[in-house]
Amino acid sequence: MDTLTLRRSADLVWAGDRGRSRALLRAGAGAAAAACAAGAVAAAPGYASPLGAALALVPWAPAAVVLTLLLLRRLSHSAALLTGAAAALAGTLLLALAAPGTRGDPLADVLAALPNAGARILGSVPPLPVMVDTLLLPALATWLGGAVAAVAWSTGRPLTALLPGVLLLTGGTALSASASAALWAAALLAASAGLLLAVSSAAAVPGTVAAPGFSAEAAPARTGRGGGAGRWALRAGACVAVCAIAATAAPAVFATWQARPLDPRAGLRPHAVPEAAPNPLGYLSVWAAHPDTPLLEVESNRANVLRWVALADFTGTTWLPESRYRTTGRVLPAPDPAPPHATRQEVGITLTGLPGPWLPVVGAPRSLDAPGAAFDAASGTAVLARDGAEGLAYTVSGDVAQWRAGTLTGRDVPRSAAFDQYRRLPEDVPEEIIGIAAQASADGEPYDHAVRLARYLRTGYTFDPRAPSGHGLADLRRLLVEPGRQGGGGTSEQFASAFAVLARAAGLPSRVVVGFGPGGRGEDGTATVTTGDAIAWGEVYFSGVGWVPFDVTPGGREEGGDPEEPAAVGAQDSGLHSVGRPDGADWAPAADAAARQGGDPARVWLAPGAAAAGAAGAVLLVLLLRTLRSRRRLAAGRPPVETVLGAWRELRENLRLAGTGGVSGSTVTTVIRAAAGADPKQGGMRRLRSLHRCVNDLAFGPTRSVSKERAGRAAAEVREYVRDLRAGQPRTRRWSWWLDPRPLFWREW
Amino acid sequence: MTTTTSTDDTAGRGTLSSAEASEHAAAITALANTAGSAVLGGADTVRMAVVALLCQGHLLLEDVPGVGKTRLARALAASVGGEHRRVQFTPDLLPADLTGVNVFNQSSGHFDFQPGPVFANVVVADEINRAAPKTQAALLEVMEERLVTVDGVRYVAPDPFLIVATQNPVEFDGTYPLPEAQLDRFLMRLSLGYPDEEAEIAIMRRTGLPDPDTLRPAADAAGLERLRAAGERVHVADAVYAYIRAVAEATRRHPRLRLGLSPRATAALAHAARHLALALGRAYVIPEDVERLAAPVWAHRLVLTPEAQVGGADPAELLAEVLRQVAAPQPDAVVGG
Repeated sequence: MDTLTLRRSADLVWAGDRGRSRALLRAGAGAAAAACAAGAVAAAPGYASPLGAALALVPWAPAAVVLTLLLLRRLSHSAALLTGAAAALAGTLLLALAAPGTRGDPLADVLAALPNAGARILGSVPPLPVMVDTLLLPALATWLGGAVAAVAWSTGRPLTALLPGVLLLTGGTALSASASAALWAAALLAASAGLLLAVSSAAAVPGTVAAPGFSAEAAPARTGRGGGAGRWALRAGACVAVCAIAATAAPAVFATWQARPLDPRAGLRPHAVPEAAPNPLGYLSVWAAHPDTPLLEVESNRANVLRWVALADFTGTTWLPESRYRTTGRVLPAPDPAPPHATRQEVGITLTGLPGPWLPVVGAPRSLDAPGAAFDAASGTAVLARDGAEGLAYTVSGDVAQWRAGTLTGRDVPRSAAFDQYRRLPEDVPEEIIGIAAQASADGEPYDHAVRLARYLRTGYTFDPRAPSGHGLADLRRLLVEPGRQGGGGTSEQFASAFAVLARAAGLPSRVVVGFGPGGRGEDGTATVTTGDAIAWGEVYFSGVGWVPFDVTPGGREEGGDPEEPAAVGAQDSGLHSVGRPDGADWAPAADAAARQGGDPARVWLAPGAAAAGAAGAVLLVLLLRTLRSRRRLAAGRPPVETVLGAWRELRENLRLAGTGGVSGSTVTTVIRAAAGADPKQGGMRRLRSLHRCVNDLAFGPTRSVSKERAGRAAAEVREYVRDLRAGQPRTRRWSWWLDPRPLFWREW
Repeated sequence: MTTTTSTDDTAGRGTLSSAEASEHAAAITALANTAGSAVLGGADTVRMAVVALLCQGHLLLEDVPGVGKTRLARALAASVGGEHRRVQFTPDLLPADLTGVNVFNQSSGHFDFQPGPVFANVVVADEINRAAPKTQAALLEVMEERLVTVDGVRYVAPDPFLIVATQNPVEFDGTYPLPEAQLDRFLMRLSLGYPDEEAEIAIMRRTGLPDPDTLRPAADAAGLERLRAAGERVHVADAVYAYIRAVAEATRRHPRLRLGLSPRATAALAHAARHLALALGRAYVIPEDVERLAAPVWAHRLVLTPEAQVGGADPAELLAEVLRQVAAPQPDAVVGG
């Protein structure tokens, strides 16, 4: 059937009724479906329930392929795609039943989700909730990909049939931002591609039709061309070897690969959630003066410091919170980098008197069971995007860091522009404040600078619950400079602000965080957090560790009952900022060396190096395969039949590489004429006379044989011709001649 | 290619060796050169006419007047040492004018048969579409049967016997176009075309061409018979048969063709391809022979759909399109080695 190919015969695809071609057709359809399902596999980890998402998305691919192939029996391509689209819309109702949205009615859910499917995905915090709103777009994309792949496959274009799979995989990877899932999905896609190409090269490409009564000739021709069982065994062995190398080497290479898929959500500016108060720091002074008003009830088996709001934007008069909130499902994205030595804590919180839209969380929150909540992943702050915070009860779990000695020694702070907003200060910062920062950062590591600043504030000043509210530059100047170097007083509001400003002046990315101490625990394990438990602290970002809290408020826990001292609970328990305590004996940098090993520069280069080596290896492999094949084809000492056919293939391949050589299915003379036309030396058809005659003798002559001498002459003609052909090409083409991998995959010319 | 499926059509008679093929090709070339020396027009056309002669087929020359159709017929006749006659077809031409009549011989008292112009080696039927269908039918009977029946007595046409009919493609007023079934009996339709500048000026100078009657024959009847026998021994690979069949099948399914190629047409092409291959010095037929013969042997047998006719489609162009669409047998696949 290579012999006779009807190139126009899309409508004859289904005419073949032989069982073998039907099996091959099914295998190809299965491979196309698997290729399209790769996108769903890659996207599933982006959902709160990967398994559920996979179950909801993957079946769309085979359904689309099968249905489209069935429709293609009766309908034209476009009609089949349109009819299939109607079925896909019906399928979305099933999807709405399986993963309902917020409206309770599948039809209403689908109608609401259809125009907003993309916005719902981009506007939600990963992992996405498994609901029709977020599943609709990937499901329909999978369907469309499957349908297109089916059409492409049915018209005998296996590579086009793979294209939707590649696009879906890219989209799915962007959606889930999970590199490991993308690897598995890519493996699935690669396997599907292999199967698809194997099936299509098994000569059962739909679209080719055997001349009746001619198949008995074509079948042995095919196996004969492959060189029999030995060649197949060699191929199988090579495949196994490549797979084995990939299986052993890939994990090691990819383990060091820090690449993250591009997240399209990063480019989207979410709408801000309206805020009741621009920042909660102002509450602190009032609350310090009236420390006994209950704010919330906390249920947990451990005493935890709660985070409330992170404030990163300093205007000179006040700190403003980061407000890139996105609506979220129950599961929240993992923090990056993960908190060191973290433990998962879960607390139940009931708001009894807390003002503002912010929801207290514990550590780096990982799940938040509060309907209508929105979350800002950069600051780890949650807000309620609706009214009715009063009396709200919810549970939140989070990763609470355990600060151990040595974790921070040797860590640098990020210098990239992405962190500039955490170093930004107004222009009118008093000289004295800059002077203090300069003294603190005169020598040593960034961590030392932060520690010196924290120590300076904690030891040089006093806690004064009666201090007036205010944390702008004027208040800081009054606190830090005017009363003299010792003796000024303030609340955590001023000290946290002062620390963050000083740290910024010293070049450290910093911010202010407001939260609550654990509160007084009752006998039933429920703690009541009051206004007196509210506290602010400073945080500095260190590369590879993340935001590190520093306790900067002076005053001793020895003084007893100081409401603003959450560290009284103990650093190991609360997870709060005692790492910043410069005076703790457990802070001795015993594990310095260990900490310094984190940024081994050699590992940074491993992945790019491996990639470069792989690329170079691939290029060399292509070069080797091409030249070896070419040499083998034209080698002397082989049977004359093989020499002539090898020379013929070599000629056609090189002509196609040069962009000439006629369409596939041309006669021998047409090809030779095209070769003469492309000949830079203008030698005419006589240059390839022996080849011309030998090929015709072999293919159509009565004896089907040629003498060794004539075969040798034909090979010599081709060798010389190909050399001249290459020499006549443009420079870039000439250089890439033997590096082009495409001829290795050409089955016909 | 498995030998079990390969039906060796030349078995028994033996395949032609390549040396024999070259020898016969030289004889055919001499024949074509002889005829061609007196004719304007390409060597290809003359070679095709010789191939038709060897195939014992008939030629339909479709050309404007005055390009040498009659000359070609005379030259062909002279090159095989035969006789040629020319009949100008007119609406009042009767069948008997062609076949001949029985005339009463007063001296012998018997009816003597006076053979008509068809009893010649090469008969030129000029403007065949001007005669009434009845007369056309009489000619076509001779073409097919090589027999003439007059008053119950059969007379056999001479050998070699070649009818060269001409049609004027420009004028159609008062003509009776040949039906498809009758067109199918012509092996080839050829066109001489206008001569090139040099040749035409040579004619004006009266220096160009010798008179066909002065040509020395390049073959006699026995030599022609030998060439025919050799042509029958030319090998045709199964792949080439399948290719011919695939092209014919494609014309039968072509949406713009009302009538595709008949089995007689495919057989005629295979037959002509053997002789063409021999004329080119090859002991076997290759797909190019099929492509080269497709237009002369097949184009006049295709019938367009009314829509295609209105659209101004040309059967030869449609045939070329079909040939482009059907892949020729590829050496790799055929040999499979």
